[in-house]
Amino acid sequence: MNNDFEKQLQCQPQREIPGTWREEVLARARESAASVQTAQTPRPGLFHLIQTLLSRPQRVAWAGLAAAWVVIVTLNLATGETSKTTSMTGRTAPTTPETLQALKQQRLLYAELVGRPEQHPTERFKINVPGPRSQRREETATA
Amino acid sequence: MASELERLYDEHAQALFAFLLNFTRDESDTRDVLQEVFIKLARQPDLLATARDERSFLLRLAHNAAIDLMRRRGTRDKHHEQFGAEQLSAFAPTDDPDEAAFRSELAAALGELPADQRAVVHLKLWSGLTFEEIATTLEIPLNTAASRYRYGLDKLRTRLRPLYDEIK
Repeated sequence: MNNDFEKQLQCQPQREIPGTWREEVLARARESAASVQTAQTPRPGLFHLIQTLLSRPQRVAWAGLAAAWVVIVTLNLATGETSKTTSMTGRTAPTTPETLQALKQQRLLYAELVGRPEQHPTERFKINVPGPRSQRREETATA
Repeated sequence: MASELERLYDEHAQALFAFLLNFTRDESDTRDVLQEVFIKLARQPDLLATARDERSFLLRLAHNAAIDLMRRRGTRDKHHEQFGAEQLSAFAPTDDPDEAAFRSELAAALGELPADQRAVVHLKLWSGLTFEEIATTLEIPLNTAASRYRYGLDKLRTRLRPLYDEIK
């Protein structure tokens, strides 16, 4: 009885899948897979970008630009050394007696203008002689 | 991969369609789940590499996708909480009035079964799987598969007995 009933049920044919579904289902599945693959493709990094740019046909342009930079850097270094030499020369130039004389006159003139008497160069280094000791001072006072 | 996908469709889509239509009782849901299964296959071409039996594996994918759909729907739409609400026939139409009546009753009786029993009954009767294969496909113990089948078949017999006796 049970087997007969099961067989009777098994004999019932199932509905057919609509024929139009095949292309639609497969097309959407392929589209979805393609979109996932596109999303998973890694973006080019900076190194890759530089490599791509250098490997392109404008290689001559890049080489020219590099040469221009080399020239600029060389010129810059050369002019920098020249100016340094000039300043060093100016600093170590020997002072002539005429220059020293003119400088002294200028200093005196400045002192007159300010109103402070300019000390004579010899007075500036006057030796400070110490005064008599207190005992001597007393002796002197009694004498 | 395109030809492999086509082969899989040609060999298994009919069986998946019948199972899903019986399980979901809704043609648009059946189509959505079938589409989901084939999208998964297209995205992961080596998905079937470890499968012992393609049919069982695909039925499992379809069943899991249908369960996921049911859960999603359960949170969104209370009217579709359980599959089987719609009286949709998963059987081919016929000109024989007795056969047509029996198929209509059978469809209605299947719709009244709980979804888990309906799945086991379908896999046993119309997909031709053994209880062991059903247990693997639905990820349930073997005894559970057997008992669900027995309960489901008993309900169908009780419901269809008058018509069945008439046809016999």
